Amino acid sequence: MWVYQKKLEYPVRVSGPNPKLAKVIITQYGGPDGELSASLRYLNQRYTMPTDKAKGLLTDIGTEEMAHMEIVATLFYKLTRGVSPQQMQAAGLGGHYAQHDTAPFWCDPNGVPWVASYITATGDPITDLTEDMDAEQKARSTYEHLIQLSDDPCVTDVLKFLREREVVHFQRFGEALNDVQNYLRSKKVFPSTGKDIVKP
Amino acid sequence: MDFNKYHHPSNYPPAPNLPGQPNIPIHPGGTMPPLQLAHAYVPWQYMGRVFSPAEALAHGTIFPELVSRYPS
Amino acid sequence: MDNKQDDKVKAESMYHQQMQMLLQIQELEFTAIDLNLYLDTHPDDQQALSLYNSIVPQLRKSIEAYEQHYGPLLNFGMAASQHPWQWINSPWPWEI
Repeated sequence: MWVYQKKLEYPVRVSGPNPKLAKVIITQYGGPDGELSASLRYLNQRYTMPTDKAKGLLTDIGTEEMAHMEIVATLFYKLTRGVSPQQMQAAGLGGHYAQHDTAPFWCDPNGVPWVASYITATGDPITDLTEDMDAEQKARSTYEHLIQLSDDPCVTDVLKFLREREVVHFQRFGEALNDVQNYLRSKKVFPSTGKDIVKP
Repeated sequence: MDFNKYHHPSNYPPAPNLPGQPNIPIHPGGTMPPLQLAHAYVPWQYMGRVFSPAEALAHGTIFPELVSRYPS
Repeated sequence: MDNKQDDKVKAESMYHQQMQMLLQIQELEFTAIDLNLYLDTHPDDQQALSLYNSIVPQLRKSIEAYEQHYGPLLNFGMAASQHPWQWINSPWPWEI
């Protein structure tokens, strides 16, 4: 189960309100390659992993991504503090304001709501871990795009931290994949049916 | 594994067994499974020296060899 | 007018002190988190495990010191509270 720790993993500062930047940052909250997708993907896949290492890693990285989601929400919150409805409208967040005021919401910068088809769980550990590595690369690329768009050095600092975490996660998922492939090779078991291959 | 692209952090002494090189094992066969066609692998990382907690938070990892600067 | 200025300076210095204590926790805990992930795929690495275990009491101490001044960082039975119930007090993490 989860226990909430009343602090952020990394300190978040912004130079001032910036709804234009807030608008694009929301992609890492509710977008296809954002922290919600990452977190739910890993926390869901962990149930059908065959090795302790994979179960542990997916639980822990899934939990860390929840903490990252909180950081992204904090960025959105701080960047929209004290912003008037007219300023939201001018920044392209008129639609968001109409539906949500300055509350964050799980959608992408174009208002497309988060959907479970952003993630998969095939139950095949090789497939799932490969998808996880792909997810980390997509997150890294997205953070790089946001770093390019950011005109606030305080925000850029937070984005760089989050980007580096994706690089580390990729390495860990790769190691878990190495381990699972080794395990399956030595067991010679069909992952989905659990039947042993009969040697000729 | 492109060693040429590796940028060693200047304020961090290299690991004693691999001077001037990143902490990638010389004999990766230890826990590295035999490589099979149509399978993806990532080189195993082995912990060498680590950053202090303050440096670690600033870099986004405790491992200097995993630091990836952007823009590069 | 002098009192107002004094109050402002005092409040800023108190905020700064809280941020410093929190940062120390974030630095230690982050080190533990990155080691945790490494240990998940390298459970036999004794060096990593020793380092992780050495951080545990340091982190606990930093958290306790912070909680003395600023209230509990954990709930669900993990940390005690003074009266009235401190857990709900501002600032919350996104407000700091």
